[in-house]
Amino acid sequence: MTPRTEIADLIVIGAGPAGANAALAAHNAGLKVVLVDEAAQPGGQVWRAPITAKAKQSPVKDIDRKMGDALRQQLVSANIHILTDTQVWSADRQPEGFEVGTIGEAGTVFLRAPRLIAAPGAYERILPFPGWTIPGVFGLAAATALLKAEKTLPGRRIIVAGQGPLLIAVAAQAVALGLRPVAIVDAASRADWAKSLAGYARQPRQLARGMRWMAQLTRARVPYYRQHEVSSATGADSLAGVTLRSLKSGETRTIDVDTLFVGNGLTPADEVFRLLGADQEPCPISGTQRVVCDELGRCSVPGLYAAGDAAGIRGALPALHQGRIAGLAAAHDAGALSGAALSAALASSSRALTQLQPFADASCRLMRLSGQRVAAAPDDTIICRCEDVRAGDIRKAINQGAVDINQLKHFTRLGMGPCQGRICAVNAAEIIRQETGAAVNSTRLTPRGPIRPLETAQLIGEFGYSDIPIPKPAPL
Amino acid sequence: MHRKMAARELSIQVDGKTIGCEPGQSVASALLAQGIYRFRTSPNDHLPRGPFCMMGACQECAILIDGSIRRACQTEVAEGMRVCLKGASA
Ligand SMILES: Cc1cc2nc3c(=O)[nH]c(=O)nc-3n(C[C@H](O)[C@H](O)[C@H](O)COP(=O)(O)OP(=O)(O)OC[C@H]3O[C@@H](n4cnc5c(N)ncnc54)[C@H](O)[C@@H]3O)c2cc1C
Ligand code: FES
Repeated sequence: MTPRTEIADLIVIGAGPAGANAALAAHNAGLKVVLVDEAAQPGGQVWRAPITAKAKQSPVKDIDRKMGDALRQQLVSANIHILTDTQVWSADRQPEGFEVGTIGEAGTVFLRAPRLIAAPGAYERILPFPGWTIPGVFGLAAATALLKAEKTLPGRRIIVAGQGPLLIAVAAQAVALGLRPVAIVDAASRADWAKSLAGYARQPRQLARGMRWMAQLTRARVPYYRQHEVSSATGADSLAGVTLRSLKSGETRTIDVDTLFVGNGLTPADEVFRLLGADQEPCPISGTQRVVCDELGRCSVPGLYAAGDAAGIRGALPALHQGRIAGLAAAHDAGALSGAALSAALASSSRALTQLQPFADASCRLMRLSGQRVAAAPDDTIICRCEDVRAGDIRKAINQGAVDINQLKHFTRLGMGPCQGRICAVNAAEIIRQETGAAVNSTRLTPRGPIRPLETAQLIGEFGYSDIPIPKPAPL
Repeated sequence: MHRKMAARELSIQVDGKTIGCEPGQSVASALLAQGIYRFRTSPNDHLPRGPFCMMGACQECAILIDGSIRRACQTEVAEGMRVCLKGASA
């Protein structure tokens, strides 16, 4: 069966704040847009839609829920062509434009357009420690996904650990569910938070929500370990205990828990940009890499635009404006919007971005994970979860001459499992960098499609013998 | 949380055992609500694994669902769905 093809003026990958607003802006300017997201509903990570009855019934006080509902309504009203439950697994640039391979309910569909806006968001970073692969250890962002979609969290005795604003958000929402954390473990000090307050003060609604969360935690008397990190976890088939370590004194203590939520910031989702060969640069905020783009989101590959966290971590509200800007830029570059109309339309979003920057900086500072902390992983710490490659294996490979991450992959199989390096590559890169002083460029895996695991049957779809092309016999 | 949910309107089969779940729940969350944390073992060192990122990135929740390997955190429960934790250790 030949896969279906759809032709548009613009393809947008990701229906989070960035992608959805990019699609809306370009659509309103007259472009034929197709928007793709692997989630069941638009909204992205931060504005994820409630799915279960319990989540839908909960009062709509939360600003993320309100913003998400408003965005979903806008997409419906504008009649945006959106493919949900659809994964993007390939992206290719041909002379006529981009070809994006997708797979969803309808099977394989190839999208073609002269322009492509990629807004796939971010992945969570987690500082590996011995025992982080034990069932019952979850990401902090994982908890937010469950809270938003299903208004639930697993576990009876939980610890919430890591760094950044999500820590407080998850702990407070757990308390609200009646699941009081046994401890909050925060890498930041009181002074680190105080420094961020200045940035947060510019966004009074967000600040008020943060203060409310802090008050809830104080009222619930949740033990708060500042300048601490999780140093190890134990358990066989599921989690039994977590050991905390003071970042100041090195002192440790062990707590019995069945569930741990831990997260150390975000890193841009960059598979699409790497597949298309767009230039990357070090991201000063996440400490990893981000795609190079100008202030309108244009990347080094003509016709390719980046927006939102995928273009460097800045958070939901900046993502909304970056998306809108990229959508307008694409419309302009396609000839649908004059230069004057573009400048006029851009003004409000550019201003908003400037205003939001201190807020974004404040969150990002708290989320920044230092390379030394990653590279300090003991030898027995698993770094690549898929292939069980440990920090010691990586150090051994470096001693045997592996100088960049692609060589490391050949030496150890790191990054060759089904997650394709999404979880391990940034951490392995940090170990290489700290051990060898390698440049950032040599610490990214060469991209390979498909960027999502696929079953051959899914890709081929249903077919009969009559679908098999019979080649013309060669002349004798 | 392991507390009883108000309405269990759907049921799925996990290794032949029936478990109740809510419409809209992901397979991962339905199993976690039953206290099932271990989903599979890693192929090299055979270490127990369960869902981790809940956003479709890590593939740790990939198990046999209705005969094909799917990410349990990205798959919504459906009446009569068959989930197999045994043998999905690849
Ligand atoms: C798991 C997680 C939870 C988070 N929770 C919060 C929170 O509670 N509060 C907060 O302020 N910030 C949160 N963040 C930070 C968040 O990244 C930003 O605040 C905001 O969501 C960024 O918007 P965006 O549009 O750039 O990306 P996103 O909102 O992440 O949207 C990207 C979209 O692209 C889709 N996508 C990605 N790759 C593909 C593909 N290959 N095929 C198809 N679709 C694809 C995703 O499904 C997603 O819907 C979270 C981040 C993560 C990773
Ligand atoms: S838990 Fe990571 S992909 Fe499902």
